[in-house]
Amino acid sequence: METVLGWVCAYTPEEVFAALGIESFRLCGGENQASAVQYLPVNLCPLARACLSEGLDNAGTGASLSGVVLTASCHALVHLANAFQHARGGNGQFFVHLLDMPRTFGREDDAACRAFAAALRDLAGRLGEFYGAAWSDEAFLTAIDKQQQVRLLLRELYRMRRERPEQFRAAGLLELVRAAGRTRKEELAPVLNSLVASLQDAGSGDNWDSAQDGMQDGGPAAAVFLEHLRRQGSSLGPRLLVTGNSLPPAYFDLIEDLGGNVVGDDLCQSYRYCLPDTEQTLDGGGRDLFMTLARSYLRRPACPRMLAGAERFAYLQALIRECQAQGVVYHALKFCDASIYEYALLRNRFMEAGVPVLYLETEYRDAGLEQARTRIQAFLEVLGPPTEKY
Amino acid sequence: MMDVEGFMRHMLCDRQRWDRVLSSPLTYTLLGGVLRLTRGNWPLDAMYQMGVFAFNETGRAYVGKAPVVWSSAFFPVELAWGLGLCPFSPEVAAAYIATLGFGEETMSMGEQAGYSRDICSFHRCIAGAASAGNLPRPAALLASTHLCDGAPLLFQNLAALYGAPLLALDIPYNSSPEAVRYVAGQLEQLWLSLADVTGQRPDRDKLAEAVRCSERFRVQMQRVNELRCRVPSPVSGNDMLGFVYLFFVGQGSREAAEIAAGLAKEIERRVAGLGRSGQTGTQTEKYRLLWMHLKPYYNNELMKFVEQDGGVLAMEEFSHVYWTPLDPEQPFLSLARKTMSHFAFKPVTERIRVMAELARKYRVDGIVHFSHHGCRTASGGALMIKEALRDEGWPVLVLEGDCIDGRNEACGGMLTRMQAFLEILQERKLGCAL
Repeated sequence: METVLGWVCAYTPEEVFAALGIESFRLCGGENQASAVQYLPVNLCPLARACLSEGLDNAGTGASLSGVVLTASCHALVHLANAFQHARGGNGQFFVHLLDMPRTFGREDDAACRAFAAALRDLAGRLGEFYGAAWSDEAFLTAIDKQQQVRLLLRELYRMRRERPEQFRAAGLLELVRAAGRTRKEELAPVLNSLVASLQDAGSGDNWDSAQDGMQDGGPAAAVFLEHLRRQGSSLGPRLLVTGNSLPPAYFDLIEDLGGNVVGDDLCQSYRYCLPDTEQTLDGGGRDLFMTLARSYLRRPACPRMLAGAERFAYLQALIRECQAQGVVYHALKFCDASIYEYALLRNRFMEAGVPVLYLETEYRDAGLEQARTRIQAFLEVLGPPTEKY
Repeated sequence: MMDVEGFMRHMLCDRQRWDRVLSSPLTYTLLGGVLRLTRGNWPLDAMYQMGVFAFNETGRAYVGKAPVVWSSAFFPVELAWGLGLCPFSPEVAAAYIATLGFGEETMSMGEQAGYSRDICSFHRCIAGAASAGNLPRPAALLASTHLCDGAPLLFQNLAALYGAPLLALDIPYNSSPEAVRYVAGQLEQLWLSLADVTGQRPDRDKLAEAVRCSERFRVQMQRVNELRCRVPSPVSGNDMLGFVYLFFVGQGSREAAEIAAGLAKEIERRVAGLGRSGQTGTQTEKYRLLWMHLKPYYNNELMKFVEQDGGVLAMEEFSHVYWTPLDPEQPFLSLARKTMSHFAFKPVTERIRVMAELARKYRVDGIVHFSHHGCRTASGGALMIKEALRDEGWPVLVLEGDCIDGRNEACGGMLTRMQAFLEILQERKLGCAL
């Protein structure tokens, strides 16, 4: 069985793994959280519990985990690292690394960038030692380049979705981004290229069949992705921005089934994955590539765990304007401190700004879908159809 | 005779008057009087001294005699003392609000302000008290990112509420020399920013003096802990948990160092006069426990039950002095090392190692992990800790509960679990005796 290195948080620098030639796999967790029961209490983040189960069961990986790199983003992920170490790390054959992630907002904090760069360098050293892989700056630059290509292509899909959301299934886009965290970028880039090109050719009409025909280089993978992305909704549905924690796919489908159009998101398993612009900061980092990478990750729009409440609200407001969203769905995972505390702050800010918000709380599984149905329905009714033609 | 809590309850019975009562110097004069009258009732004179210190500082904060800075638990508060500021711990305030019986209504206000019941009840209580305007207005809020995800996030929200700056200390897990320098650099910047925000002159001699006081506190608390190795225990651990105020707010103050020295002397005297009868104060010591995390503050039933059944908290996780000596000549490096060396801010194996070491040193019969519902740091590792310590032969009880919020607590259930655990300890003792 092939072995892969698992990771979870969108701040994880896949570029370092790729530079060392280590296959990596983004753990996203599934419905089953049973294997976590022994290690993590029920009042801990369900995403962490789901990822532990996925990792321990090798579920969905099609491969066996040889280790995990987890960012110290929050105490749930810290305990996830502890749980992996506890369950698998005893014999020294399983790599467990907790990557320090500054919480102060990196845009103006050079010390935080330097600290993160040092943490990345340390990670590269430890990985190299464990996997017997040699470091090369050339390979690192190639990895940065490939990663950036994939991000840009994914962003193009998000741009198209923003323009004609009624044709895009949000859960399909989520699946695609999840897949990006599980696939070699040099293999994924042509698939995405083909997908983007054919959807661009298909234009704004309901012409996805021609898009399917138009795909030549992407192979069957592109066709499958396309099928999963496809949706036939109404452009008159309320336009929504989804933020907070990663929303289970079934909830995206529910929102769309009820007539909503997801026009944008700020979720770590979705749009946030596509954000760092590493290339643009290469010069700024000088010769220190780790510093370059650290800056690119820390300077992107902050996530709820960062202490950047004001910047985050400004960013979300800009995103709302950019997507022309009528309302916001804020999703908090049960027991996720970062989003629960943030919501208390954002709720008031959104209220002051006149942005309607629906607060959804889930246990990162489909349970509770029916209770959510009524609330989503009521929210969409309040929003009504878009007042302008987008 | 009225006790201090009774007096406070009486003074604060009308919530509409809280602001007036708490910001009136007369309140603290009266409180000082009540404290003096009740001096003989305190289990330890050091507790009385700490009460005087705590109420003086609370008065200073509410009456506005010095710029108030809020500090989260585990933040190196020496920085504030070194600038002559008035540090205020809202987490300690939340515990006191619960002790006085005002926890439920205050938490409800926090929930109305948008804070879910799934977060730490200390923080819900703080959010409620802040939204009602019942806490002293901060000139700045100091929070560190280690050991608690919630505190810096809450402080960020409340900084916006008060229009005061949040000065956050980012602490990495790894403690390489580079990481220590990163934290030390932040501490220096924070100290300067804090001086600037509060209009104080950053004086390195005053900071060195605060670090010196903190070091004296460390030495004295270590002395206390050495004395506590004695069997039977010379002091009640339940009482010792009250000194968490000094750990969170006092380090760096002259008063905390003096109280700790007084406590050490008091326990020394007790040890000298302690017979072999197994008496700790008025109770019989049947089981020696290592107590992890804190305790319920909203009522005393659990702790009373433990003590009535002959359980003694021989040592508490929160009383452990884990950090190395501080050097006043290198305040920022010293405080960085201190802050980063907390055993719970390491892989969970370190917390397990330290707890096992304490269990051996204090010759405990069992270990209780009080799993405060909203504390991801502590309760997140509880199952792994239980398994590992059990593998080492220690009986461990993970007791799920809440320090502040008693609304969801089936207290009977908690007592039953505790009783069953104490019975197991009893059986083990009998087994050993046979």
